[in-house]
Amino acid sequence: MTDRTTPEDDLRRDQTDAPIIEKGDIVIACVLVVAFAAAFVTAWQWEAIASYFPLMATGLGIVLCSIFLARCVVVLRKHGASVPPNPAPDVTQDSRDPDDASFDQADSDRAFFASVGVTDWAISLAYFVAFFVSLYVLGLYPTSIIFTVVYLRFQARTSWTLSVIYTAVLTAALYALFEIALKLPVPSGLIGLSS
Amino acid sequence: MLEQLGGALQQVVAPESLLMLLLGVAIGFVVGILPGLGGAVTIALLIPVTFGMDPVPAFALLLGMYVVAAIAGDFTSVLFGIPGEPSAAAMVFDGFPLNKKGQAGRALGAALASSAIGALFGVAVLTALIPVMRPLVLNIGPPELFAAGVLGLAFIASLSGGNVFKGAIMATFGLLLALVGLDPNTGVPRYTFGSLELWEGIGIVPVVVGLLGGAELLQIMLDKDNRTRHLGKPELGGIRTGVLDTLRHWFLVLRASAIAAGIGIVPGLGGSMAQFIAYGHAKQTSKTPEQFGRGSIEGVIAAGATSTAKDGGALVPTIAFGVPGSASMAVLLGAFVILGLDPGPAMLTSDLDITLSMVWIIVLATFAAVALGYVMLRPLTHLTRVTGRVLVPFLLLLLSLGAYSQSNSFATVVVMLVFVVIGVIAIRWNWPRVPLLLGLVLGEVLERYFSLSRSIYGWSWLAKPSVIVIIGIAAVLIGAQILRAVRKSRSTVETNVEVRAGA
Repeated sequence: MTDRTTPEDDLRRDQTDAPIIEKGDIVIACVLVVAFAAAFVTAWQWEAIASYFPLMATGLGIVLCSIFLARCVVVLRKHGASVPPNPAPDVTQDSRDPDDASFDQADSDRAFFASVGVTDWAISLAYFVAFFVSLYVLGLYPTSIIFTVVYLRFQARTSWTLSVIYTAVLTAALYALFEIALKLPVPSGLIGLSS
Repeated sequence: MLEQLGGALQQVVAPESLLMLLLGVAIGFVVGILPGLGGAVTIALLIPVTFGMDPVPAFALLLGMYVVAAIAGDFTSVLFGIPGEPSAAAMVFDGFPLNKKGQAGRALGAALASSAIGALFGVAVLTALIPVMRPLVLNIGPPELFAAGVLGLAFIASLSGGNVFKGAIMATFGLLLALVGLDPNTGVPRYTFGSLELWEGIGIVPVVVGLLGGAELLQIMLDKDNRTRHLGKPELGGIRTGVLDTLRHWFLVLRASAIAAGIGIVPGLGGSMAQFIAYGHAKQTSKTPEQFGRGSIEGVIAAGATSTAKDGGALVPTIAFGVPGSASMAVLLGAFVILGLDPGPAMLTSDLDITLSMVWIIVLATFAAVALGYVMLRPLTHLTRVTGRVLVPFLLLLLSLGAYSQSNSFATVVVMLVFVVIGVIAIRWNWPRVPLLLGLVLGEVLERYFSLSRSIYGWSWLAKPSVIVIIGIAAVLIGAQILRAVRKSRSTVETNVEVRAGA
């Protein structure tokens, strides 16, 4: 399988493991070092028996983040822009051979998130947030009915018939399973519509 | 012993026991497929049903359900990237990428076959070790258990996909998350920000569901052209290929099963830890470690074998000493008491027939799960042909119910959402997510045994030979992996610079 990869593929594979520095990495490491430092200071105030392990864990976190940030500085100074970021794989190509070693899901996922436009993010996050707000306010079953119909019809572009049948079957299955068979509690909502 | 095994089999195939076993298999299949609804919770829910039953039919229901749930838990990991059981989390790493390559049947076939072999291996361990385990288990103390946890951390590098530093930081972040909640020694609320919901800590279920499943779901929602789901035609021969893959990697199945059963035997370490250690071992010993996390069939096989083999091991201390090897076994221990059984030496003498009946229950439940699995695999693989966005409402509901079932509180749903965000950030900037899970699982174990060791031995436990040996092995493993990663990254940077200079 690997015999079919080109030198460019091999280079891209190697680059995956290279210490590539992106701004995001530095921001994440800075956020984490602040979190570890705040947790360390907080743990310092507890009595000794409660603080031993937290101090060790957060101290280790501070050391690791500091080494990582120092390494970022060294790599950027030494190589600067000569260490290129990974080329984004073309996630629109469906023709690639899934057995090919160059098919790298992690790279593909990373490139996908990097390539999504603001509008798509806004629409998807709006649906995502609406689902959880509805779950919190209305509870499971009303959310299942309203969200499923609206999402299938207007976002997945399925027919009204399929949307309604899908919603009915899904909600009925949830009700039968959680209310009748297992008798497990489900989110009831602020106004108790699912209780 | 053989005569007693025969007698135990007769009890298990009696009509009442067999009926309960089939009921347990059916419930276990549903429970396993539903994310977040763990076997431990369902055992607890089913215990009242067993009031008044004889022990064998009662265990046929409880244990049969539990074993099948562990096997079926792999299905949702492969098909939707959402682990049906916390102990099936490692199956997501390679099972779901294989699904995306259009090889769902192969992954499910391998998962089912390796789970079945793992279950049989675990039960063989249970049968063989019951008479000889007592002296060994009684000699393992908190210091050795702490050292075993440190050994677990040694697998971070191999689970970091080449980003050793990022992996180590994420694992430490996992350790920090494990500290959230009431301090077990003093009752001090730690990092709870005044929230009562956080007093119980952060459970692994909302973290796994958010970090792995949530990020994947958001990707499907964002993907208006259905680009990220590489849905090939589910190959009908794929299931058989998966089974043959498992048989071809028989030694890996045995090694992963042995690791899982071994860790399962040690009380308090748990199946979640076993799967990561076995997965890390599989990657370390693989000829193609770069495929792990990208759709390695070996990763699927190791995770599958682990998901079931651990239970046979966990039953050993539960039955022999009344010391539960995991949360599920702790719940099962409650069933022992309710059914009038006394875990301990009596289970190896006067009640040996009940102990041996558990062996048969696991064997028969495994065969039933395999049969049911093969019947259901083809319809299940067809689910992968459905357009991603059509699955969104179903997956969102499963995701939220999986998180909610952890504590029956919306707070765990919020925790899950936080980890969806962390998961997306981690994917976007290539920070490995698995070490965070390992840190979260090991953090609680490490702190518990660190505190116990210190309160029992002061600091002298650090000089115990057994502790020095285990931590020494961990240090060598970590050092070797860091050295390998540093050498590799150094040569890669030089190569990249040369290539760019040449261009």
